[in-house]
Amino acid sequence: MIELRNVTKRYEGQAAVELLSFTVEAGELCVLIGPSGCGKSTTLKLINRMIEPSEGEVLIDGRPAAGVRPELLRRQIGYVIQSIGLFPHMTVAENIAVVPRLLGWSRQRVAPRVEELLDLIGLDPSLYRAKYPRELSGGEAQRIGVARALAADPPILLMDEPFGAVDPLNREVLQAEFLKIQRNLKKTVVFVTHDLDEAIRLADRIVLLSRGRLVQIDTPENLLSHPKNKFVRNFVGGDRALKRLSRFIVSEHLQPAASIALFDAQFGTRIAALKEEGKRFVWITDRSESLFGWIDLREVDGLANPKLAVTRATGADIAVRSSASLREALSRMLGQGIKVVPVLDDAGRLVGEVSLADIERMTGT
Amino acid sequence: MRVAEDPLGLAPSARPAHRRSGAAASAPSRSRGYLRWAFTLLAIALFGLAVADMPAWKAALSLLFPGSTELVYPRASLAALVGEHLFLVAVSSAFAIGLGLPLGVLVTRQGGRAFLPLVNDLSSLGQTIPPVAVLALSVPLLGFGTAPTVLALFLYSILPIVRNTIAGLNQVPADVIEAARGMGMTSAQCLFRVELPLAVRVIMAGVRISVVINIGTAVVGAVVGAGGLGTAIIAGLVRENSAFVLEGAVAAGLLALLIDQLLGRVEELFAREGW
Repeated sequence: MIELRNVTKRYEGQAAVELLSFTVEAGELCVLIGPSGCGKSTTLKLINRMIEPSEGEVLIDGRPAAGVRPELLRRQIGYVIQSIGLFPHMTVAENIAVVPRLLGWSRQRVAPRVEELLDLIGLDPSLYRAKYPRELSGGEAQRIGVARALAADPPILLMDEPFGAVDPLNREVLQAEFLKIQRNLKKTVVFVTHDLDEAIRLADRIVLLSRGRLVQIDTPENLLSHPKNKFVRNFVGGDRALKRLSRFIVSEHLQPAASIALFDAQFGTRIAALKEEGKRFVWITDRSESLFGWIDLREVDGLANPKLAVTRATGADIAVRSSASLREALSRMLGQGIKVVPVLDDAGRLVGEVSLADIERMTGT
Repeated sequence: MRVAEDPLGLAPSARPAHRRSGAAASAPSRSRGYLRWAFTLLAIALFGLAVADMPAWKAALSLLFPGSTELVYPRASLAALVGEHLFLVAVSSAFAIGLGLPLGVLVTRQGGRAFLPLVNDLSSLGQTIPPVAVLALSVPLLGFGTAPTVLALFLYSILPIVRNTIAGLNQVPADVIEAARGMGMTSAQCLFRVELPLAVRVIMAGVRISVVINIGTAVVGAVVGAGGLGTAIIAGLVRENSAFVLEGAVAAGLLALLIDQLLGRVEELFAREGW
């Protein structure tokens, strides 16, 4: 649990953060958000004493943070920054092992922990253990950054725009992975972002700051449905219903999709069977189970070869990834003028579909 | 001032130590590293043999100066001159490194930043005063021989070390330091585990430049009787015997090349493969 009590930070008389009070409960993912210069990063750094408050106090599990030596305090708090800051002269394994080593863990204890963490973030230890940071992609480096912060199993995690420097596609994947990890580990997380969609997608609660002061602290749903004042309304914008869709992940709402492999020997028979079931649109996959196109069963009639009715469409054109949000699925539908989008897994295989009706059900509740 | 802001153009922008392009492939560079070591040690051994073998020098010089009767400086063996020369260089460089490195570290710490301009100016000043002038000024105080020479060489060689230490530490990315502190490293742990390892290439480059310049400059020591290869050169100038001059100059040049090679190998030891 983290508690800020009337915390103020002044720089040369100018308040960066003023009389800030809020509590982050244990196991809660709390997102700090606001326009640039609102003091969100400063607030984060006040928690691990990278910045010392001018007034007020920070309590961690009920004890004042100021009572602990900053180094010892920080070793109990995971820290991830936007630029990651992996140590370029250390391998991935050495980077992850930094805090455990600072805490004096034995070699026998550190090595399996590194493996465990690499597994957790989905990178094969035998491939990644000995790599240097310059050999990693942005997304991989960011995953290692998270693994490094989790290394000594700290109860608290501070994350300063951790996915800010990653491209949008990878950001979604990282967010989904992080949510999955967080659901298992239940860390107390304070997460800074300027991306409202990210905040809505990840947060248990959102702390909205403006000019160093707290404006509203609420769950994403409440922030969107009951903005406290004009500032909040403007900040969350007019597309609040759309933004709520960001909280739902496609993989949790997908429906099984009817599909046929293009080279299926029984192509014709299967088409007929599906038609019998009353289906109209069926996805067509190629040899590698990735999307090849779709077929409108109404157009099959009278054709010598039903394959002639197949419309070519690749995943890049019309599909969404299972880690994407329903908001993106909707955007795809609008962009392509379709009411159902196919869903692909990370390997590009068809795993299901999401329809406009599914999405309407979500916005209704 | 002979050495500009950025000795050898090793500025961070030119070659950031933390992110060189794929050149540092791991496995093949290791075997090539052994080869380079073997080559360097072989060259040093050959130089040692040549220095120890006076007749060989005489034979070589007699080809250049067929008429001359005195081909090598008679009052000391070449090996002894090289030994004295190395001693002067070693002592003055040890002082320069021993003072320059901590000074460079100090002025890049939070508490020492105020001294950065002062240290920069003082080390530049050391480089701008010609060593001969330092000798002339210090002999009345320190007497003849080793002491004033070591002082002159020390003052002359501290600049590249201080400057490269500062440049090397300043080019460590701020986010890396923030991460180190944020993870709970003390400032000393951050310095020794993160900053110095990332700065070591640039610092070593400064040491290399400094030592090589020092080997050339140490020739002046002969003027005040400190010995070294300058002795043969000055004797040659006085007696108008070019063979003596060549003996001292060639040996000093070869020595500088060899030490540079050797320090290059040491530099490679510090920089771990892979990054």
